[in-house]
Amino acid sequence: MMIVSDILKVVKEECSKGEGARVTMILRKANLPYNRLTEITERMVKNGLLEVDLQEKGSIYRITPKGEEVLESLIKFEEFAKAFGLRL
Amino acid sequence: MSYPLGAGFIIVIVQFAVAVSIASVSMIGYRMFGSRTLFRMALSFYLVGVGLLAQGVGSTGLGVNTLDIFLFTLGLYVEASGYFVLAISHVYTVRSEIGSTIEYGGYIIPLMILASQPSFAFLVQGVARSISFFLLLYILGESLIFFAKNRNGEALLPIAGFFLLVVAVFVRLFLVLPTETSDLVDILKLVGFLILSGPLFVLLARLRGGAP
Repeated sequence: MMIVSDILKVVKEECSKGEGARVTMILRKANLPYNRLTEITERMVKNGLLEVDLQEKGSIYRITPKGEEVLESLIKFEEFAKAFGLRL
Repeated sequence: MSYPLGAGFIIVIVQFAVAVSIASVSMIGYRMFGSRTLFRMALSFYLVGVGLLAQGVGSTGLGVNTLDIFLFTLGLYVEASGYFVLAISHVYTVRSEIGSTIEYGGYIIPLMILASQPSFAFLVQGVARSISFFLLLYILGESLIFFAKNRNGEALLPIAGFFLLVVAVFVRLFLVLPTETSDLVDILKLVGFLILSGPLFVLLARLRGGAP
């Protein structure tokens, strides 16, 4: 769950800066191996949390309104679990 | 903890309501995100709630002494198993072993017969309280460490809540109290549960208000 939340946070942050998040950026900030990341982002795209723009230089990910909604709720539940000394 | 159906039972009902509320919200979170942590939190607080309710019913008295003692003792163990699940959440190593404990259901009947004997019941209840005490102590310790690392202000509420639960179980376990003081221990436990529900209200306010 933390992985999904981390990816959404990185993509949202990058989207607010400009065009979106490149795979390298997500890899670095979410601290994930490439295979794992592509597997998870594919699923997130399929579930409508992210949208992907396939470009020559590599894919660019953007957060969808549904993704933003999920991220907001996730953060709230993260805080709830954290209050009990736990991580999602 | 021997109540007529009155204030004491209301205390138990409030404790039950708090535990089940925390469990239900955790379950909603689990259904939304599939988080194992939230599932373990839900399971833990459901067990604590059911355990408390069983103790309450056992203390109030169904009129069948054997069943009352058994219910009360069973409640203590169910509550302890709730703390166990929460403690395991802190260790973060629970996978799918939970189901295997159900295989030991065959011991329930002999336990019921033994637990209904007053002296044996006292011993068995002491063991359950000891388990709860050490698990709560562990949960409190982990929560304190988590707070020290993350400086998360909201964690102070559960820390205070767990502290009161530890004190309540400690007093009941190690001190011999007159009946009136014994009821005070239940109130202490109730206050602990009410404080534990703090993060629940914060979450509900955030979900309503929309602020992160």
